[in-house]
Amino acid sequence: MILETGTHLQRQPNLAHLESKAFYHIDTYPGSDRLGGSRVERFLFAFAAILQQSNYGVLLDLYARSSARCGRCAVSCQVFQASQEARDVPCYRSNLLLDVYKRYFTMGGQLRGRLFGNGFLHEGGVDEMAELFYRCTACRRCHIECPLGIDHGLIAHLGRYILSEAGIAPKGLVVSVREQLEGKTGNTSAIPLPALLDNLEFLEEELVDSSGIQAKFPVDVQGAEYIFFPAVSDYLMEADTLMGIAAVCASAGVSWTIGSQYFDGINYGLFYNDWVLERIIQKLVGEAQRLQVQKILIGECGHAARSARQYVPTFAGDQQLPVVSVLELTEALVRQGKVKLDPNAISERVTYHDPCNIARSGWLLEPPRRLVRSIAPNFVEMRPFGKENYCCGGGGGLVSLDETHEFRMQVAGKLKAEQIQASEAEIVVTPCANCKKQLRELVSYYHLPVQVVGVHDLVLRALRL
Amino acid sequence: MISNWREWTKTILWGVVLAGGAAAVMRFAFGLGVTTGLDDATPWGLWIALKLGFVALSGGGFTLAALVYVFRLESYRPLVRRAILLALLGYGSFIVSLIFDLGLPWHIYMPILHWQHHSVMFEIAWCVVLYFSVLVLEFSPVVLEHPFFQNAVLQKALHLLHKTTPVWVIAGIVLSTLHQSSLGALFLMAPHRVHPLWYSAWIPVQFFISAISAGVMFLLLEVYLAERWFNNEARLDLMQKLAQIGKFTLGLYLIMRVGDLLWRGVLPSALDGSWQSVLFAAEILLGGVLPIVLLSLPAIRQHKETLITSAALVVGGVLSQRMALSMFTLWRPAEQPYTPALAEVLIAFAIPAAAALLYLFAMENLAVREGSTQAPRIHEALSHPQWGAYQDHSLWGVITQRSLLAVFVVALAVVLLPNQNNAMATLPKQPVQAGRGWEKLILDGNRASYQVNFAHAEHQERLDCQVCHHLNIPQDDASGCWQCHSDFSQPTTIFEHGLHQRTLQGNASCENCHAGAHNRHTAIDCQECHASTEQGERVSTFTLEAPGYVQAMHGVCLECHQRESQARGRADLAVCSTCHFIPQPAPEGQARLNQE
Amino acid sequence: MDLWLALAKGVFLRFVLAVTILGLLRHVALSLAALWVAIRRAPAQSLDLRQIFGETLAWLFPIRRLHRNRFGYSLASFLFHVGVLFTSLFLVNHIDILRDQFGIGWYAIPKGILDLLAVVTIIAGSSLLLFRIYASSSRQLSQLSDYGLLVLILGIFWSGFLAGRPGNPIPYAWLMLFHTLSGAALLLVIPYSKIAHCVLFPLIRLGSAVGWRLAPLAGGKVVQRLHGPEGRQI
Repeated sequence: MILETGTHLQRQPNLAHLESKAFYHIDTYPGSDRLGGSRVERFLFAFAAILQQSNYGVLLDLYARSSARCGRCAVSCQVFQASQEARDVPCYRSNLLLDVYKRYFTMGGQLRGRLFGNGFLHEGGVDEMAELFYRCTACRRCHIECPLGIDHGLIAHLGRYILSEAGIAPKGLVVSVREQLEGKTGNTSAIPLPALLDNLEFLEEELVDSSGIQAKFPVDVQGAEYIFFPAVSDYLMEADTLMGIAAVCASAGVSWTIGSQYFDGINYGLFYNDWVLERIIQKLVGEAQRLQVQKILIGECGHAARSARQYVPTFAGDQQLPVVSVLELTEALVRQGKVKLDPNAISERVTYHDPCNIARSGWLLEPPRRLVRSIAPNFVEMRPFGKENYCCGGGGGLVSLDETHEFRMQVAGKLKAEQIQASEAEIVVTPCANCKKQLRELVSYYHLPVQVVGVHDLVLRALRL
Repeated sequence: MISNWREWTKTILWGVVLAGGAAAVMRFAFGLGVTTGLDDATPWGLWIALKLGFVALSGGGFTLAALVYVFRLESYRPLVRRAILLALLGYGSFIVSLIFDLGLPWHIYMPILHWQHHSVMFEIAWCVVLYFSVLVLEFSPVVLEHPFFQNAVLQKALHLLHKTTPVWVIAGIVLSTLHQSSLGALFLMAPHRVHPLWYSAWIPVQFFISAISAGVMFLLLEVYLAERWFNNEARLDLMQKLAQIGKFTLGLYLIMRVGDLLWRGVLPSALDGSWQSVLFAAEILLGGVLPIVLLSLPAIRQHKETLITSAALVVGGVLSQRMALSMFTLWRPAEQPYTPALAEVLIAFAIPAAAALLYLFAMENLAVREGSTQAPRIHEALSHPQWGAYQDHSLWGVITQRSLLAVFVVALAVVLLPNQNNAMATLPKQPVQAGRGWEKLILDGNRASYQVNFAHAEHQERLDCQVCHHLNIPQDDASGCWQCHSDFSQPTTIFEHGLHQRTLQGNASCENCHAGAHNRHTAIDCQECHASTEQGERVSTFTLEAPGYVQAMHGVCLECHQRESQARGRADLAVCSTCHFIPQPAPEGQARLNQE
Repeated sequence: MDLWLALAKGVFLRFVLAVTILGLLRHVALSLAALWVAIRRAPAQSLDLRQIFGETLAWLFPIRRLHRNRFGYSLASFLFHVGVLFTSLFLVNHIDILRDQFGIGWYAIPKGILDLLAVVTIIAGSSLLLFRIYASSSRQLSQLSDYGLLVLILGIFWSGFLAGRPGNPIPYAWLMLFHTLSGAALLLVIPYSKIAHCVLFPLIRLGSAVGWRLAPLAGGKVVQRLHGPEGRQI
């Protein structure tokens, strides 16, 4: 627990207890046993059904035909860097699925299987996949360094999808999604509407008390320009971020609203199941339609922003709406001079953590940086940063799984902690609910003298009316 | 993987088609002479026999159409569509195989534009074109009924077709009757080439009657096999009716055939023990008498299996008659036997295979079978997900499998391609052998029975040896031309690299001849080492190839002959027949030469 | 022996080369068709083709990227690829055989340069092999074919290199036969092993991008396929 000077953290990962199969907590959906057969058969049934209906076949064909197993991705994977276990090499993990694909769904593999009678998927194989696909933080950093362009993050995504259709998915995700799609409250944190409204009222008062800004959290405004979907947990945990957003919108006179029927931006479907992903997107679009808004505004949340941006066009059908991240909006408002910020408001040494979901593709690299740089003169970058940043260690939904705490601290987030420490920053800014939670846990776990905040937390401090 | 016998069948058929396709590419790329065994003595080969078979098996089409539409025998109606489908495919195959057989296949439309009404071919061409068009019209209602073609214009066309059916049917019957018999009439044009046991002045009629029998029996076979394929029971009563028609027409045909032979007194030669007589006996007894006897027994008629056995015998017998007549027993010079080349065989198998695939496609997708608006798809029975099902039964899986097959089949075809580095690649290699004779040389380099008369003594008096003989082989004073000009028509290299490598210490010796890079362009001239063989002009490098035998001989003789012909005013010295005999089969040619 | 060599350089090579080329073309055609179908299935999303092909091109000439990680390994791998491509495609003897068999040929690189390149390739290939055996993570990643293909390629290079050299201890014909036959074996497995990436390379990155284009309604169809029309709970 005691930190030495230098960038290498003292605590060596104690991996022995992670070997146990209780690493993730499986939740099977009701009726999954109706699929019949062993877990292996369920896995293959699900695999076949997904191949038939989806777009993954071409991808698997391409990968299976040409994956060279050069091992170059090992160096870019922070999980492997920390654990030094071969099973954490992205290519190894992807090959688990590719081997099953080759054995059961390609001519060559079937022929080989019949000739030599080997390569069958067995219970152990399913176990290994279930464990390894959830040891990946889905950061897709390996994709950048793969000369062939193989996307191991996508394979992990597909692997998790197949597993979940076969009845193997982490309880933490499934329970939240069940509440979101089939529960009474309709959001992942199970916040009832009255509680939300109370909360919004409280936030408005708090905003006046703390910074003297009069700002509303408008609810159910028909025909507003934006409908706002933050990660719903922000209402409980990130008051400052939400107040910052409200203050910006109020000072620039943005017409926005929160939907009372559906107000959750979180989309765990991106982490484990395409069906869930699609249904959540449709709920999002449905609420936007109900309120006749023009655009969808996603709060400070990496995966929510990416899933909405990427999949609203796919799943919204003919009800297309543009998707905007609140970072883009605020940055544009600042640029247009509609929002004035104090350039010297933040005197502390600040660094910025790129959430993988919005940074890896190169989508939101500069807007948040410009915002932070414009108010914090003492800004430093972590190395590496931007497209090649390290993941916080809690991506791919892992941060929502309490069982993975040890893993996230000791393995997945270790490099990030070292990186933060090396930057010698006092404040880490990151526009992502998942990253914030993980980074806070990391900071307290490694006793780093660092404060973790959102972009709009700082914007709120720098806002000049 | 391919999981059942139907898939296997289709896959094998595809393989056969692809192999034939590869052969087809070769046939059109390199021409008939190279790719087939056909020559001047045998202009008609396997493909013609095949065509006669196709047409014979299509006989069910007009028979059933006549029975149902003209004689109004409604009980045969369930069979009309499939009979017409078979006829359509049969005639389609005929036309496709005709394209392979034509020397200038792109002239296939010519008989339509330029009428040569003295030719039997004229009548055949017109009949085929018209009857095929009629078959298309007869079959098109079946296609247009498919949901895919549900639009107003096409439905109007369908209605019109239905209303005008009798016209087409009668046209079809007339045309096919004409065509069936005119195919037989072809053989009356060259009676001396037809074997006596198969010849008859009545061949046209025999063709027509036997086509009814074979077509009907083939339809019977098809009914049984198709219902097996679709897991159905074939209707015994229909099969019996078909068998009766087949039996009577077969009897008529047999009486006509054997009776004619008896009348002309040729029949005794069926007992002379030649292989032709054995074939004849087998054809008449196994393919004619036996099925008639079998089908006359009620016990046989009660079982589908015995019915189709008899039908298969009839079909085999009629096919045997067509093939024996047009290919096996057709007279040709003994020196020029005909063996079908690989490409011919591949294409001969590929065309029926393609027809079978088209047939299966039509059966699976169109309402050809009785009482079905659309035949059920075989593979859609899977209600429960099966992982094996993913690749097998989707279109994608089929494409993947077939394309893999295609890769290997086409690669095999590439193996068959001739080498490209020879200028005359399209001519076959014919080894050349030493000429025969002495005072008067009879030069027949490639033993093709085309001799050249050469008065050696006479030339010897006038000329130096070196004018003709290169004297370039050590210790030899008259090397035969064929020793270097070893191929009849292709240039050949006269340098043996392997020999030099062996005799000059293998790899260590490369630098002896090659400076720098090791290829034929860096090699030194032969004379650098072999000064002693130098006779006339220098051979610059060994890349110079010796011309083929024909060119070499012409090169040596022609110039001199033309010069002398001018000088002495003797035109007869410089014409082909000065040296070349008029082509004759070898024995007579030899005899004539000996007389002179 | 000469007959065997002629056979290996002639008919056999022709078959094998045809299988390789057609097999690779088949891969490309199938992949393009599948990609097209996939793109059609999820038409709403945009595809940043410039970025994808830019990246692909950058990795095709990865001079400026080798140092980013595992420099030695990356460099060896790059040299190995360059060596294999150039020596196989531009050696005058190979082109002569092609001219002989198919009547096509192209410019040949002088043999001295290729000899040097062959040495570089052998060194690079050997170090790749050693690295695969030495590094624990790579070892566990490797399958039999990974070693097999490398060894096969190295064998081809050794025999080809030695055969053209005076004073090598093994008879020329034996070496050449080995070289030709193992080369043919390599050609034969190219479309059906990981070496297929020689033509699929430009499509993989595109495939990765297309892979993220989820097909609309596919999720629900999967559930229905597995559980029937009534579907399932979450």
